[in-house]
Amino acid sequence: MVPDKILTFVFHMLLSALISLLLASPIDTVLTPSYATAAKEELPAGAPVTTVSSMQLQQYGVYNPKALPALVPGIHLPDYGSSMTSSIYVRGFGSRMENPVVGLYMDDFPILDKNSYDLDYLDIASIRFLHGPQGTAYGRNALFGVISVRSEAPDGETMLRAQLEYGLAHHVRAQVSWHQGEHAFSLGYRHSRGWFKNEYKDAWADPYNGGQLRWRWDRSLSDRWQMTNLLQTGISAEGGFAYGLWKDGVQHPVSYNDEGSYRRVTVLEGFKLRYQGEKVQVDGIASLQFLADRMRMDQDYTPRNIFTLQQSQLSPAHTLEVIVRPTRKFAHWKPTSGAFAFFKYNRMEAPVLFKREGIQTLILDNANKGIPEDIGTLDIPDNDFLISSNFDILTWNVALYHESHFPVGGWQFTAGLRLDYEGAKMLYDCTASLHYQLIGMMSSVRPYTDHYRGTLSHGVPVLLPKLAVEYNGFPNTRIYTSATKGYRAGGFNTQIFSDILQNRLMNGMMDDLGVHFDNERVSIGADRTEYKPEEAWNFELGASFHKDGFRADVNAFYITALRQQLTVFPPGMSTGRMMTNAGKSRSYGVEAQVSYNKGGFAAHAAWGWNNARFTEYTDGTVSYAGNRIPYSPEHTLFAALGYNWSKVSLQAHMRGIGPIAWNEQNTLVEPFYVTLGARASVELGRVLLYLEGENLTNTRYKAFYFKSMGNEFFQLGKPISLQLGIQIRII
Amino acid sequence: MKKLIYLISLLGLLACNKNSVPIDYTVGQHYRGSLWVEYNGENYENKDIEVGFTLSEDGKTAEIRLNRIRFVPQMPVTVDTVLPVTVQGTGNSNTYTFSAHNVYPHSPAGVEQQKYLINNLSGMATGTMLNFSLFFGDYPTRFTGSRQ
Repeated sequence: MVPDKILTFVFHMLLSALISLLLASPIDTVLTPSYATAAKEELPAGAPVTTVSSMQLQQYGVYNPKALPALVPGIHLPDYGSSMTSSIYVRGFGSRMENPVVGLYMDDFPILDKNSYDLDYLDIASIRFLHGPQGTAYGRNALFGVISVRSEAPDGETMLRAQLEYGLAHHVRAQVSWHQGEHAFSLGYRHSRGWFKNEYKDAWADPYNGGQLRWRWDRSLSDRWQMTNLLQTGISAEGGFAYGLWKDGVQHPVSYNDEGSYRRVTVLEGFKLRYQGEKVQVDGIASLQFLADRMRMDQDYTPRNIFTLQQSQLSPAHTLEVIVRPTRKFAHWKPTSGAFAFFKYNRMEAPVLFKREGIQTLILDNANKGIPEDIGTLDIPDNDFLISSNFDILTWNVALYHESHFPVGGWQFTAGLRLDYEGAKMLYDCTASLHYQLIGMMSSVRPYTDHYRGTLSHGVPVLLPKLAVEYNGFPNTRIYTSATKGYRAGGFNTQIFSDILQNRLMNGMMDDLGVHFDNERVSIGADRTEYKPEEAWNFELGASFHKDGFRADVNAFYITALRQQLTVFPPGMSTGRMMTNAGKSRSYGVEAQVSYNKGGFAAHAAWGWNNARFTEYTDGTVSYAGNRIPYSPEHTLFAALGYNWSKVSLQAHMRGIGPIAWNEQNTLVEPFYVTLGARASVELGRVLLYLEGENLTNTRYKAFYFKSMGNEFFQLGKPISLQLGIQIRII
Repeated sequence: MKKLIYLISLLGLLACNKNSVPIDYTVGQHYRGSLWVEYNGENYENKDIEVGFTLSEDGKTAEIRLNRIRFVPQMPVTVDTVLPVTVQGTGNSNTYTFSAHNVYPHSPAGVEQQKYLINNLSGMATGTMLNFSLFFGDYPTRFTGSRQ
């Protein structure tokens, strides 16, 4: 089944490339270097926008999303786990699992799977963060913002550039960029020995090897037709999950016995076509996306043989968007209309292997607590047993949206509405087989197998309105206010199925024996593993001012989140937590940015503050209303100073994050911490030499916290890193 | 008077006919009643217990299924159990006597419950009642119930 889908996907990829070639056939090619079809970014009215240029990315050592925190005020992407882990926290909200609260767009192509978010940047022209819900224009998951990444466009010139850097932890990063006419190619490779040692294995826990390829092709086909084709693929093999036990206030080193690894292949083939007619401009944006990954995880993170998880996914997806605008400029009306659709298939296999100690501690010890001695003692003599969980998940979405801007004097009024419908269907097929014996009642072991199969489906329409008012009457100043709504898609709790199977096994074995407990293990069924979309209203007030090399932005927001997707302990679950629409929250705060550039001097500062708290949230046992929402920092702070002489450049920056509540009770809090970074570079003709580093004071901070089997774990932040690099402009 | 005698005779005949209608025990007949278990010299009553009696096709054996029984009050579980018995004889088409000795009961799914060796089981199933007594492991046990 899966190979057929891969073949189908490859066929579509080839077809897309062929269409690109056919459309590119006209002989009279007109290069339009400025054709970086920003089809969507014309839309965000009434919202603060942070733009990080390629120069800033280079200066601040940002080569993947996890180096973005604080640079954009209010955004935090903790660096932990593996590349699969792309938790993003904004304005006090975020998610450790399932759908993100921020949409990611690569040259207008939406990246559908969160597992593909953490990709190294290759020749990025800019990264823009559109703050606040962008639901009307961007739809699903643009709940608290959109990260819009723009890659370097070919400019008609020939350019060949190579870069190589080496640093601590055997960090190697190599990149070759080649622009020729209407094509831009980039090839990148990164290696790291890893930063954290697994003491039990006496090996590095988090090595990384990954490569990426990007091909962008911009072509003006005629006066009216323009196209962009983007092919981006990445492959990586890495360790990860450098989680160390935290006990009695002491952080222990990473120490576990089973494999922790992540392998991933991603492909994005995107095709954009713009028609510029006399009456109308139409942008067509289509993409084919593919994700294949496999994660292996020691789920107990101890040297004991308890349980492991492997999760692999094969997920092809198609997206299509059409945006229509009138070519004619009306005096008081600028409308934009669009239609969007996607289809995504995901074949997920997530077997959980219970090993000998896990059978004893997680299953038998718990079970035997409830079985009277008079009845017997349950034993499962297997050395290990597998709970296999396979899922086929189909997700589709269709949306229609419209935004109209009404400029009147220095004012601009904006109204927009999106009707979004998302449907999903999941086929689950779970099996567990073991042998058991109720010693005292049975004289021999007996095999027991449980099959749990079924289908779930849902479809939810969402209306996403937007109202905004801007005033541009003062020179160099923009004042705005807006009310916008965003949503994060619903879904299925696939990770809870192994717990459901555990409970079914226990109840099934007891049924097999004809024994019923007075306090029978309550277990949720598959029908309760669905969760609905989360929605949020955002009210924004802000202003920006720019003059010469000075720019200042400040904005305040108030957010109220409905049907918030939160993790709870479901009834009867021994180890698992699941996402459910458990609560309501609110957040208010301020974001500010200041930058000043004059001559060779550059200064930049960004600060974000929020007060994000639950207004309703009970995890099944305790109410957390009034407590801070965990994992999201209260403050983000970034400040940089730099000076550029003609050939020499020096720059220093600091990042501050925190405090971060690690649990819903707010009893465990990471205090505000600061890391320092710096870069020095010298230009020698076509050669640029640089030395850069992050966390130069080797600040010890915690990046992530979780509980498993009653144990608490932290992943520490990365220690000091130093890299020496060379960049050569060959042509 | 004649009419009254005729009516009484007719009712008697009808009642006689009802009693003589053969009951198909092979599809399982259900009785509801009380199960007493003697524990520490006291009788513990399981009230409103449903018990099934199913005769084999050849009529030589039967199974008595007891649902959700408890042997002692402090027992935190209830047990479903099936007692395999040998049919001793039949008084008429609707009455069976049965017994069992030194056999293990089993769960409805077929798992032998070796904890509860059955001894000295004897009893009778009729069109209206089911009565039996036995030693359920160490527990003297008896059941009396009416057919549903």
